[in-house]
Amino acid sequence: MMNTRLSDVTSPGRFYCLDICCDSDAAIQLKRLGVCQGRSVEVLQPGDPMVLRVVGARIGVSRRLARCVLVQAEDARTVREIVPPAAGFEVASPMSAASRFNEAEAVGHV
Amino acid sequence: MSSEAIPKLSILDSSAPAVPAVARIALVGNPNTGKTTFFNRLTGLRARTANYPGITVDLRKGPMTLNGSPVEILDLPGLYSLHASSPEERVAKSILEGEHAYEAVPDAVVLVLDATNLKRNLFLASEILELQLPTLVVLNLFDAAQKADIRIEVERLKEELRCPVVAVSSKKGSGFTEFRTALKELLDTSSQTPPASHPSCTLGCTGCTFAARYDWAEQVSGRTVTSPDHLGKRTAAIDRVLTHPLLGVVAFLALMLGVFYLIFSLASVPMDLVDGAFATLGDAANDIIPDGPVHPALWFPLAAVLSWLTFVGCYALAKVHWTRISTAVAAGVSTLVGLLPLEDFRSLVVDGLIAGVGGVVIFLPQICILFFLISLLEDSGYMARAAFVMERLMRFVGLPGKAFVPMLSAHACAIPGIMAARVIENWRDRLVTILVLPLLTCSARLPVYAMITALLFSESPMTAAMVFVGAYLLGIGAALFSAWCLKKTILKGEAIPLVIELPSYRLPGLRNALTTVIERGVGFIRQAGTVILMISVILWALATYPKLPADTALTARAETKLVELQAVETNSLKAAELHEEIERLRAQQALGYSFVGRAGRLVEPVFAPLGFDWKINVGVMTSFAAREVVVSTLAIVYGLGEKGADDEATLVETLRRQKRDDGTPVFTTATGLSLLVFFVLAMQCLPTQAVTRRETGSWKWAAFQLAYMTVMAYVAALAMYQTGCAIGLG
Repeated sequence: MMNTRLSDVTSPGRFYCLDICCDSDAAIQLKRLGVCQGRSVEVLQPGDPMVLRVVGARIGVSRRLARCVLVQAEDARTVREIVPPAAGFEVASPMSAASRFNEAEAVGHV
Repeated sequence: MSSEAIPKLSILDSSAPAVPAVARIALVGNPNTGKTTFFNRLTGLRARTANYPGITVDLRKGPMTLNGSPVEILDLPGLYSLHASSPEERVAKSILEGEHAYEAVPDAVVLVLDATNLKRNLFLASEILELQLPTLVVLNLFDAAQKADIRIEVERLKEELRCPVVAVSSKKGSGFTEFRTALKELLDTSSQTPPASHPSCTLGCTGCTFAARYDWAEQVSGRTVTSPDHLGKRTAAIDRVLTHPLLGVVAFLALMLGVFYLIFSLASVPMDLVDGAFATLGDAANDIIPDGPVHPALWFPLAAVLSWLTFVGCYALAKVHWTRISTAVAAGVSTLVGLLPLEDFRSLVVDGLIAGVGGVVIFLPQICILFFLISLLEDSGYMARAAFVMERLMRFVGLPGKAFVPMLSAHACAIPGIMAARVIENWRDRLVTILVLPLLTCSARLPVYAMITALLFSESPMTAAMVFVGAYLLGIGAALFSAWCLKKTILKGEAIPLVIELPSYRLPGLRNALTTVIERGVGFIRQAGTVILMISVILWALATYPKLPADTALTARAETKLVELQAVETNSLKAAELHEEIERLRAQQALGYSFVGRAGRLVEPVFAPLGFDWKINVGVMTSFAAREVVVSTLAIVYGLGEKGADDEATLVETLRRQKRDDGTPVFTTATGLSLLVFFVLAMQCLPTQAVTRRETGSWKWAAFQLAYMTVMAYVAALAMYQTGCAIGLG
């Protein structure tokens, strides 16, 4: 499936966030709530504003801001679990989410 | 975080200033974690709000005792991350990082996490733990988590976070003994040994640091929490209606209608009681103040001391320090009060102080009910949904969806509305909202609307109701239009797009709502006892002085009444009526001679194009500080006496009879509508101005608000009157 903007999603589903392509305060706020590169986003109610489920919480996001979010449907890709089993507190994720995605792309799963 | 960047703790750093006797604990947590309820549980009603110069963010502080030792709890504003975006979040961040101008780094941090969604809350935990401050984690809403079948391994979580963790329920009050023990231990141990180090979970991370933190949060949550699959089904089901593009708006409107209905229906009885209490107080004061002459040597010290005591009370309420200037003001005014003639003193107490303050305190029940309902709606999780459904409508005028909460509050009173504007993170959006809020119809306008609609359309209730609704809509329309204009001109920029957490629905707690009501109510009374009291006294002085010289001839109308009086029997009912009428006419004449009366005539050319005569001008000017004053002022200037303001029918009849010099009626439909439009749009509320200054941090915006609203009110009233005259309503 082609990469798409979150604002263009018309039906509920789970998506993988590829990038947040703007740098405004609102974009930072999105990231603070868990909509950030390499993480999973579930669209519960498309529209303007739309309802998402991120990190177990529901958030409302206006479509204007959702345009900044580049996503891909999760069922269209086979990446290993977004959160790999980690060893401990110090370095939870030795590999950034973005690099994990790139790795998945490289092995032809995307 | 590198070791160099670790902020030094005052209790550990030997070079730090004297160790404070009272340990200071900062309460930190995401919004919607029940942090405020937790704070209220700890401090009860002893909490106070700390204001700092130049900062518009209130910080709540409260004392508690820990095994006999006093501890100060500082309730920091809710924040999602130390990447602060709102002014409130920036204040919280600056205190935690030791960069705040007035607050030192706290001795310990109590991190409140929502046990029903630990995963999300652990994001902030990762940032807070990295600050290397002694930290105690509180799992709030633990009962709700258990009820939802969420299992949390507290011991395992302690190991993961390397800090003490206690489970509590703020709503039920459980777990607080364990909390106190853990906090005491934390304070004891941290004063001897530094806290365990918490290396950053973003260490070595090359991508998005936010994602890395959430990855870590998910791992920790995965190892310590077991959640059932059906979690959030109930919230999802309710949200299908409440966030639906159409049904959501209908539900919102129905709920708001319900809120308004409750405010106006439930408040009527307590409002009557407040009204009655102030009337009784006025009568009592009238009776206590002696009628006959009192020797000045006895009266002067008595009156001066009473005035001085009033100042002591006001200064204490307003937290004014006894500087040279404030002491001189109190001494000067008290001396003047001591020198007042007995009748003037009576008038000052009864008409100035009691009537002035009573006229504002009467709105206390409405404000309390409003805050009670808003607190319940906030706790239930609905307010976020309301902002969500209003987003699209508000965006048309350049305001964020969150601006609707202050707009709702402003329909009771602009002051709580302006204070509620703090929910808007972006400063520009918040400022625009504050500037337009006083245009919405507050309850103080209702007596004015009631008077004018009764005056113009008493024979057609339907037309009167439509005009009433029209006045409301005019206020809403003017607020939205002004917001749009401001966003296109001096405060350019689109509203920050909505990003809002929609918390799970919860049964709201009554205890928390009542605490909010008491806090807001006390704040309002403090305002009434200080600013409004001062304004009332100043207005009273301007409407009383200079006094009409005793040898001034009566007006022609009063002369006629005097002749009539001489013709009737001395003790008859008619004689008493005529006597009263002459007194009223004399009072009216005295008002015309006073500063406000003279000013009314002076500005006659300015307001004449609006259809106002000098007496209406006096009403406009005396109501500058509080718009509802116009009703009682019109009652006085049209020779009815203060009591007439309570009796709307009598007042309306009197107003209807008023004639201009050329014999035409003063209150034509055009004049009435012009006055109505003027009062819908004009600022006419000094306490609101004071709150605008406080919330914007500058008199500049308060002055701008006054200027643009007055100009808009003038232009709209002018257009109304001239159009009305042109179509034959004049």
